[in-house]
Amino acid sequence: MNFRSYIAKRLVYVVITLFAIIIFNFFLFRVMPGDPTAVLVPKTGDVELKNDIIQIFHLDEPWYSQLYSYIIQVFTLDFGMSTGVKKYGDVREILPRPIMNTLLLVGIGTALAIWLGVALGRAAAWKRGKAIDTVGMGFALTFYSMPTFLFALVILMVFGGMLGWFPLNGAQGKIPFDPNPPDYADMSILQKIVSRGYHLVLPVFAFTIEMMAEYALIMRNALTDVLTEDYIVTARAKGISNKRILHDHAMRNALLPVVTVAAISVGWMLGGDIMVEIVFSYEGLGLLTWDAVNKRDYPVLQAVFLLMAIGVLIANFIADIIYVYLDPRVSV
Amino acid sequence: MMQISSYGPTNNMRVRRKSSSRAMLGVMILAAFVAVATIIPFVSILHPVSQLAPESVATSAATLALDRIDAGWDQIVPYGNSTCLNGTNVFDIKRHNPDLGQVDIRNMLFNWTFVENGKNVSKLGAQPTYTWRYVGEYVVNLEATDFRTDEVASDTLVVKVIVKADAGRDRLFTEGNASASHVQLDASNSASNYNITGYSWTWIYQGKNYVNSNSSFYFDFTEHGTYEVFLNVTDENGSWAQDSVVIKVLRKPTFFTEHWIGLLFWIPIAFISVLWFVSKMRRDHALVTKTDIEKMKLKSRDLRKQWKIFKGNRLGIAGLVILFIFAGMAILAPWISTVPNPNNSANFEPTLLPGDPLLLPEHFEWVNPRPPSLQDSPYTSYLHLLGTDANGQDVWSLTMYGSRASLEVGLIATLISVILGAMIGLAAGYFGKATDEILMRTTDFFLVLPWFPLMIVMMAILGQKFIWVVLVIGLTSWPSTARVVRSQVLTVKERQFIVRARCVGAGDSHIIRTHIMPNVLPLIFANTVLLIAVAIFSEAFLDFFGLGDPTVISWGAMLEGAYESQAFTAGAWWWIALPGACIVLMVLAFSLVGYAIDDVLNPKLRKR
Repeated sequence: MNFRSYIAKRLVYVVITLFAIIIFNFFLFRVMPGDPTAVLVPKTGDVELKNDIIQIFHLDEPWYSQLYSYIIQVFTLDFGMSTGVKKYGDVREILPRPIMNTLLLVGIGTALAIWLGVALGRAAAWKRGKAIDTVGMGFALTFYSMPTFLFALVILMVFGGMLGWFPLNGAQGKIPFDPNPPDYADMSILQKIVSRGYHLVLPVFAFTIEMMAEYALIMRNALTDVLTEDYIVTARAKGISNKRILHDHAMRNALLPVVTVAAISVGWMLGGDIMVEIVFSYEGLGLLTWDAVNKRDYPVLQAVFLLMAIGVLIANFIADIIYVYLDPRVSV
Repeated sequence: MMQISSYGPTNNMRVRRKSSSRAMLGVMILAAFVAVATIIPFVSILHPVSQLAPESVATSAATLALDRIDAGWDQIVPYGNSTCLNGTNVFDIKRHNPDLGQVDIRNMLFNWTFVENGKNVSKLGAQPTYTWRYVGEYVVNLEATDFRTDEVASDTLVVKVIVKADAGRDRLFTEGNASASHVQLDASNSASNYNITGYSWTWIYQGKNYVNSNSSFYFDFTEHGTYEVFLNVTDENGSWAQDSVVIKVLRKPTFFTEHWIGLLFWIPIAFISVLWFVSKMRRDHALVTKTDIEKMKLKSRDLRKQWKIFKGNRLGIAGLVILFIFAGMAILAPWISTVPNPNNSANFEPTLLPGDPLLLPEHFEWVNPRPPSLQDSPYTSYLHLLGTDANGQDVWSLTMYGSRASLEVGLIATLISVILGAMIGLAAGYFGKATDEILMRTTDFFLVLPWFPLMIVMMAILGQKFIWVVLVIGLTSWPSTARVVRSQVLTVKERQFIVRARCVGAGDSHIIRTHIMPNVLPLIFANTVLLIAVAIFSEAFLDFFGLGDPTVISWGAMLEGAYESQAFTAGAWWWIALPGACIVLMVLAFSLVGYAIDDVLNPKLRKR
C-alpha cells in the first residue's frame, strides 16, 4: 500500500465519520423522551422566539425531513439562531472569534505540551530510577491527577490575584506596563499582538502543564518498553554512542504510541481547554459552551459540539499523516 | 486520560534531522501560528461583529452633539441600595464610528445633577456610585463638558427609588424535620424612609391560597414540595415592591430512595450468587469438593506471588493506603463530621452583622465564609473545624460526605463502562469478521467523539440528576476498554486449549465463559482501576461546570461554589484546600494502584 492509497483510505474514513457525527449530533439533541423537539425549543415565554426556532429547525416536520434539512444546513454552514447567548443572533456570527481564540490557545498549548512532555518522558526513561525519573514522574503524576480547573484557579489566584502580574480575565485589551491602554480596536498591530500574548500567558501555562503530564507518562512508558528490546542491546554491542541509540533507535519507535495516544486524547484536551477558558474567562469555544449551557442555548451548543467533533476528526487525520512519516511500514 | 500501556511495533530506522533544527522549526511554526491567529480576526469577513455598530449616532463630525452622550438606561432601585451611574457608553459609540472625531472620556468632565428631598445633589465622574436614601422618582441630568473644546452635551435618565422588600433567605429541608419545617417568614429587613404601612404575604400550600399581613410570623411547611411565598410591601408614600422566598421541602427519604445505589449493587450480586450456588449443588452435590480445594491452593499461591510483587512497589502501597483512608471517610462520614447533615439549611450558619435582627445579645458577628476556628458557633452551636463556606455550610463535614459521591460515581460508572466495553470487546474479538468490523467501527466513532464536550451536552439535555451523572460517565468511557479487551481476546483465541475445547464440542458461550473470560478479565483489571480515576475526575469536572446534582454533596460542587463566590481571589483558602487536595489524592491513589497492578500483570514493565 503506497502513501497515496493509504491517505485516500483515511479520507474516505474521515468523510464517513463526518456524516456519522452530523447524524449523531442531530439525534443527540432529540433523544429527550416524550416530545423530541422539546430540547431545542427554548422554555421561555417568548412565543416569537419559539416559532422562529421551530421554523429554522423544521421541528414541525417528520424526523427524516428534519434530518435532511439539518444536513443541508450544516453543509451550508447555517447553524440556526441563538436563543440565549445572543438572542435572535445568527450562530454563524457568534462563532468566528471564539474559534480563533481557542485555536490560538490549544495550538500553542499543545505544541508546548508535546515538546516538553516528550522531553521529560525521554529524560525519565533514559535515566530510569535516578533522581530525574522520580522527581519528573512524581511531577507528571501529580498534575495528571489534578483537575485542570483547580490548577488553573491556583495559577489565577497566585499570578493574577496576589502578584497581579497578569490580567485576570479576557483574551485581549490589556498591555503590560501600561495602566491606561487604548481601546483594543485602536491599537496598532504590534500592540494587539502584545496584548493578546499578555492575556495568553496564564491560560497557556495552565493548559501546557496539565497536558504535558500525560505525554510525559506515555513517552516514558513507551521508551522504557523499547529500551528492553533486543535491537537496543545489539546497537550497544556494536558500540554506537548512547546519544545515537536514544535518538535513532529508541525514540523513533517510542514516538509511535505517543502519536496514537495524542490523537485519541484530543477529546481530553478539549476538556482541559474548556476548564482553562472558563477559569480565565478567555473568550473561546469553551467559554461559549459554558455560556450556552447556562443560558440553555441549545442551537449554539449543537453547533459548538459539532465543531469540536470535527476538530478532533481533523486532528486524528493529521495524526494519521504524521504516523506515515514516522512509521515507513504503513506506506510501504 | 487514556490507558498508557499501548505499544507500537518496533523496527530500525534511519536518522532524519538533528534536534536543534527541529526545535527551530517548532519555534517558527509557533510564531507563524501566533501571527496568523492575531491577524485573522481583523479580516472583515471573519469578523462580523464590527458590522453591528449602532446606527442611531449623529453623523455631524467633530462636534459633541447631544446624542453623543449616553446617560444609560433608566433604573429602578430598592431603597438603601447603591447604583452606578454610567456615562462611559460614549466609548462604544466612538469605537464603532471612528470618523466621528476624537471623543475621549479622559478629557471630559461628567456632572450628574438631581434634586433629592428638596436638596440639589451633584456627583462628578464618569461612573459615580450613589446610595439612594429617599423613595421617589428622580430625573438625573448628565452634563458632559469637553476640556479641550469646551463643548457641552447632556442627557437624562430616570431613577425610580422604590421601597425595599426583603422576604428573607430561601430554605431547603427534609419533610418531617419538626424544627426546620416551622418556618419563620420575616420581612423586617424591608425598609423605606417612610413608614411601611402594609405587608402582604401570599402563597399556595396544598392547593389552598394563604394570605398574611404581619411583618413576621410562623408557618408550618410539613408536606414535601416547592413553595414560593410572595411578599408585597407598601409604604405610606404609596411606593410598593415585591420579593419572594422559595421554600423547598424535600420528600422524606424512604428505604428505596435512600439506598437505591446499594440495592442496584447488591441485588445483582445476590442473584448471581444464588444462581451459582444452585448450579454448583446440582452439579457436584457439595459446596466444596476436593478439586475446588486444590484449585484454591494453586490460586492462593499465585495471588501471594503477585502480592509480593505489588508490595515491592512502594507507590502502589501508598495509593492503597490512601484509598483505605478515603473508604473509611465515606463509611464513617456521619460520625467524623462535626455537622450531622451539612446539606440541611437548618444547619447553615447565618451571616450576622451589627444591626441584624437575628443578632445575638452578645453582639457576636459572624461573616460567611468564616475562617477555621475551634470555637463553637453561637447560633447553631456546631464546631467548624475548617470554617464555613459562603452559604454557612461546614467545610469539614461537606468534605467528609463528598468522598461518598466520588467513590459512588467512580465505582458504578466504571462498572457500567467495563461491562459494556468487555461485552463489545469480547464479541468483536471472538466472533471476528462482520461483527468485529461493525463493533470496532462503532468503537472508533465513539473514540473520535470528544467525550468531555459530549458529557456536557448530554448532561445539559438530560437534566441534573445523580443517576444521569453516573450513566453519562459510564456510557462515554467504554471505548478504550472495548479496544483493550478485543486485543486480549485475539491473542487468547488462537491458543491451543481453545481449539481443543472446540474439538471436544464446546459451544461459543461455554468457551467464552470458562476459557476466555478468566484469561482476559484479570488483564483489564489495571485498565479498570485507571478508569475509576478518570470517572472521579469527570464527576468533579461536571460538578464544577454546574451540571452535577445540586442536592448531592461533592468536592467538585464545593469548588464550583468557591469559584462562583470568588473565594479564590478573596483568599478563602480553607474552602478550597481540602476538597481540592482530596480530588487530587483520590485520583492519584487510583492511578498509582492502577500502575502497580499493571506492573504486576505485565512483567515487561518491571526493572530492566
